[in-house]
Amino acid sequence: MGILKDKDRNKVQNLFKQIDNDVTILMFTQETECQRCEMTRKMLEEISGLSDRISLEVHDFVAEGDLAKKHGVDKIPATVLLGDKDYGIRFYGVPAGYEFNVLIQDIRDVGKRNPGLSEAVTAELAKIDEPIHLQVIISPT
Amino acid sequence: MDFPSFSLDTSLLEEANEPDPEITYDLLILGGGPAAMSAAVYAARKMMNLAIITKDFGGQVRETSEVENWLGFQSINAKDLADSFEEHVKSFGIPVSLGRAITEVKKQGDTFRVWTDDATVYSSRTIILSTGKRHRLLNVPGEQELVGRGLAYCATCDAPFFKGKKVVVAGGGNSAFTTVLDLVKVEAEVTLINFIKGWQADGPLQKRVEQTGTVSMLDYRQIVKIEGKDKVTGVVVKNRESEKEEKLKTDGVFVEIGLLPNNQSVKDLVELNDQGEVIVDCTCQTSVQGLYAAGDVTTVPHKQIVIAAGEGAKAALSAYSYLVNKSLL
Amino acid sequence: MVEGSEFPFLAVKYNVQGVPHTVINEEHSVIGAPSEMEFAREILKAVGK
Repeated sequence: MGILKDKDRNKVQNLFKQIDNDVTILMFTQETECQRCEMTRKMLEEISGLSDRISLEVHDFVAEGDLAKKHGVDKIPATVLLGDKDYGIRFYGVPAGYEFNVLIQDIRDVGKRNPGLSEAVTAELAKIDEPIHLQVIISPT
Repeated sequence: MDFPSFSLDTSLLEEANEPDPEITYDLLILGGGPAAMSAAVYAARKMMNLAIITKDFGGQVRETSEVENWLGFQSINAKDLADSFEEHVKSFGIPVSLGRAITEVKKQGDTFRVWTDDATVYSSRTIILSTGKRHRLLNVPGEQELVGRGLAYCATCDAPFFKGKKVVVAGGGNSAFTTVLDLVKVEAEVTLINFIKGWQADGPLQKRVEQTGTVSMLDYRQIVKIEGKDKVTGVVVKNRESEKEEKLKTDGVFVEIGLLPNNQSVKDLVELNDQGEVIVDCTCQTSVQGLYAAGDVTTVPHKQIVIAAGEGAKAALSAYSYLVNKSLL
Repeated sequence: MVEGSEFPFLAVKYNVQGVPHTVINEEHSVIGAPSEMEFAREILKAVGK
């Protein structure tokens, strides 16, 4: 028995059919794993098994501090989504509850190399010429 | 492996197609609450070519915790009820535009055009406006600046942030009393303030609040200012009898003083009553041919989930008859 | 995406009292769920455009 129910697994697998580029998921945990790190890791292991395009690398936040630093990871559990480059997508904490939708959609978007924004919104965002740091703080529901 | 309180929501993963701006639909449904969703089910079963434009699904149902008057269920979790509505709608594969706000609806000849805030324009022969209502504001200094910084409009969403804190609830009706009970559950110290003399809430609700024995209830008082720089620190309350003002320290303010109809997109197109509600006849027809309205945004009294759902069904069937009579279906 | 209840110090740091709460470049906040266009404009506003 995995974490995902059969019905949910089918939904995710179905959505992942749209993925036509490789996606790498980096997950940062530590040797003595906290429960929330373990939950995140198990969930990502299951998700990454649902598409050949997705690979998962589990890293140690302490032992591989340099790698964590390189990706700007300063707390765990951390989930990093990478495509041809780093798009800056990070999840801190278990991406469960409603955020599970967001995690799956983000993996799909990275896999398609397309964030699915309309032309008008893309044009607005094109005016930005400096790095922007966004933190969306959510609660488990 | 069992983890505590571990749930995975997959409600957004049912892929819906985007509506096509090149197509003239039979019906566009604006909104995503019970009226809109019920209309969608009825229209889909009539094989109408339809699409839905909404910011999200569930409407105000998502702002409450338990529903105790949906026929067939003595009590049902509001999120479960909204999810089951959504799943029903999505089973028809109706195209949905999510995450865009509707800015304007116009009628050009026999065709309606709907503008969204990213400049997309959709076309349709009929419209069901079911955009619902939004929370009415106090319109006092400090309110706009402090939203989400101690000032809240949804107890189900935000009550947990006020565990053990001092909170003022503005209002005197059912929603204000329900909010008080949600806050008492998280051990907040609650003061209820009502503009008019007495309380409008139903008897049983009033009784439950009185039984807590911890809520201070002040009526015939007006909140004239919300104080705080980065977060709410207090309110200024005017006693309407003595005209005296006093400061009350508080960590939070929940505003539950009623709702306003989301009529912005049609306010220059259809007739509204003095409260801004869209005037409809008993077939859900507005003052504009082919434009129907259903749910809380309309003049139909008693804003209830079951009534909104019924009205939505009626609006869809009316739109269907309209197209059949015009030989457009 | 930050789970506020797992990192309560961030919820306190940014004065989070309702979700979603988005912090742009550490100093600007957007509260609630705006449409994509509204959100894009908030970001532009935060960088002074």
